[in-house]
Amino acid sequence: MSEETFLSDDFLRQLIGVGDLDLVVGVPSYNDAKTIVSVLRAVEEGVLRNFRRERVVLLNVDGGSGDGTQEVLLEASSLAKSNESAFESLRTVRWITTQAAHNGSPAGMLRTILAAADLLHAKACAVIAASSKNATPAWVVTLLEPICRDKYDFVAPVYSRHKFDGLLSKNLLYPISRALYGKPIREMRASEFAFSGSLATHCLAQQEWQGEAFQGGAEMWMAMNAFTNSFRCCQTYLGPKPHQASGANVVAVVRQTVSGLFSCMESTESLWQAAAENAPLHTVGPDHDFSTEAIRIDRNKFLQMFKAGANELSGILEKLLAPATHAELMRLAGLDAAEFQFANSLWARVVYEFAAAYHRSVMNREHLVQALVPLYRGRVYSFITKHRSSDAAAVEADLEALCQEFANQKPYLVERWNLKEEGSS
Amino acid sequence: MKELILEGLKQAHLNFEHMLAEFLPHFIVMLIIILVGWLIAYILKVLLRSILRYTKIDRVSEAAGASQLLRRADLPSVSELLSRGLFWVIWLGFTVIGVSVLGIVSLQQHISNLIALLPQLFVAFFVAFIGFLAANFFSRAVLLAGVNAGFPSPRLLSEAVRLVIGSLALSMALEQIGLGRETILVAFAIGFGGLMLGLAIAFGIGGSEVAKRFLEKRLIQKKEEHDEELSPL
Repeated sequence: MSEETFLSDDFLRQLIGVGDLDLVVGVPSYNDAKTIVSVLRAVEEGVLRNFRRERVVLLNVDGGSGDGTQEVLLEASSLAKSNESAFESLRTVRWITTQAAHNGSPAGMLRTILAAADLLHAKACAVIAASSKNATPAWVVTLLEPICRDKYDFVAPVYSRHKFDGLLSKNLLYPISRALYGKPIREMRASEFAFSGSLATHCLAQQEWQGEAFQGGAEMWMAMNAFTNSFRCCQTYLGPKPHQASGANVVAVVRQTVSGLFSCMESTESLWQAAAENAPLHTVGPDHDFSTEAIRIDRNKFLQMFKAGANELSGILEKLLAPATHAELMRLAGLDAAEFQFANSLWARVVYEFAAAYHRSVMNREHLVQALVPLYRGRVYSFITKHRSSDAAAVEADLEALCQEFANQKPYLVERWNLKEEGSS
Repeated sequence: MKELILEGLKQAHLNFEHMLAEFLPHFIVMLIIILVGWLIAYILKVLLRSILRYTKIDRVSEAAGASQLLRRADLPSVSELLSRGLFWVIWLGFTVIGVSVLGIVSLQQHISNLIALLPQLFVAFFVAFIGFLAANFFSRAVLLAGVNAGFPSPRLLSEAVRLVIGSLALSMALEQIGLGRETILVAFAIGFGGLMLGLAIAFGIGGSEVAKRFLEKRLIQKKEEHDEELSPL
């Protein structure tokens, strides 16, 4: 589909009115009326203070909010206009708002931002989520500078986070991207990142907009596109991302992310099956930072859900996993909380066997990915229990060991992946 | 006397020759039709099998759990089953055409009755097959959703879904071939109604606490539940 067909006439008219420019800052929003004003202020201040000579447009793409997010934004941005002079910018900063073609879909919102960046011939584009209430003006420059100054094409963020936040990223996305593609990107599904105009054009030319890979995690798909197509990637430290209770549906997030990851693995199999060297990734600032304050977590719930899931889904897991792995999981499900430990080696093996089963379509892929959720919960329980009182260094050392385990077992993944038609015999 | 016997034998011989002369060409035509039919049926069977293997229907059937059902019933794979089915339908069709050349009225009647039933049998088999696929698919979906949502007895729920969809498909298939239409309809209505009533009573008596906990969790303790979740990303 060409860009013109999924962008509304009104939006195209606004883009044409802006003309060519240097930078785009995209702010995707969906029911973020409570936080969008603080993000807007941070973004405007960041642009006006740091990019005084550049032609910049601030672009809000809304996913069909029902809480008046766009109205709040328009009102706040007009108020902000009267204060622009305080920053002595040489150019005016303009806000453009539009609605994404597919309501609420992060993939649809990112596609709109990519299309706008491409049409406006922007040199660089930063994306900052409207839900990031801790966004600061420094984020804009921290994200855009590696592209504008150092000619990078993709900039992933590094946050200072609680050691138990982002456990799917820590336990799955980070080790697998590092083992398969040799790129140690910490936040594969970040809400903030930046990319060059040439990467935007490259991504728009791909035909995967409706595919699982893009829909399952557009930012992850973009990162993989960058490092599998020799675009220059780096990370940049954005500072703290405070721990907050997640209202997200964990099952939906795991399902979407894992589907997207496995689908990306399918489309890039020739690249990761060739030996990928673990090249160090340039990071502006520290490449990890964990906070360790005590938080209230009901660990036992994770263990109960793992045990119930492993027992109830034993028949399904038997089809997906190797007999030894299945037997090990069943043994684990029978252990007491005190003895329970979901080892790094078993977790890596489980993930790789699921990926291979997904590739061979051993069963309906949606069902297959859902069967991983109880096992992920078991792994989360084990991780939390192990690092209850660990400091940041111990957590990082364990993550390093996990990454090493994923790397060591890569030949096993290749072997399982290439087992042809075994499931249909 | 001797002449009469000879005359009778001669007449019988002539009659036999006449009958043979009339029957044999028809019989040979029948054999040719059946042989040609076999050849055409065989070619189409091989062709269909190749097409089905190319479309990977066996993998879909394996993924949906239908192959497991077939294996339990000691039946071959879906592609083999469908191609063999096509072979027999075509060959039987040719056989009937061949037999009709002989002109034996009573035999023709029986065979045409059997043939008239074949499409319905085929549709019934197809309905039952799709029904079993759907039953397996939805029961697995319910099991996974139940496990991930932390429901107390997801397997019970999943098996109930399998039973309802499976019995619905079976009753539709049997109705298609007109086997005891009213009996099946009534039996299904009684069975299904009884099952639902039984489940309602069982849930009412045994599951009131579960229902209470479920509703409390949904309506009252929603905030607390979220507080305990960690952000996976």
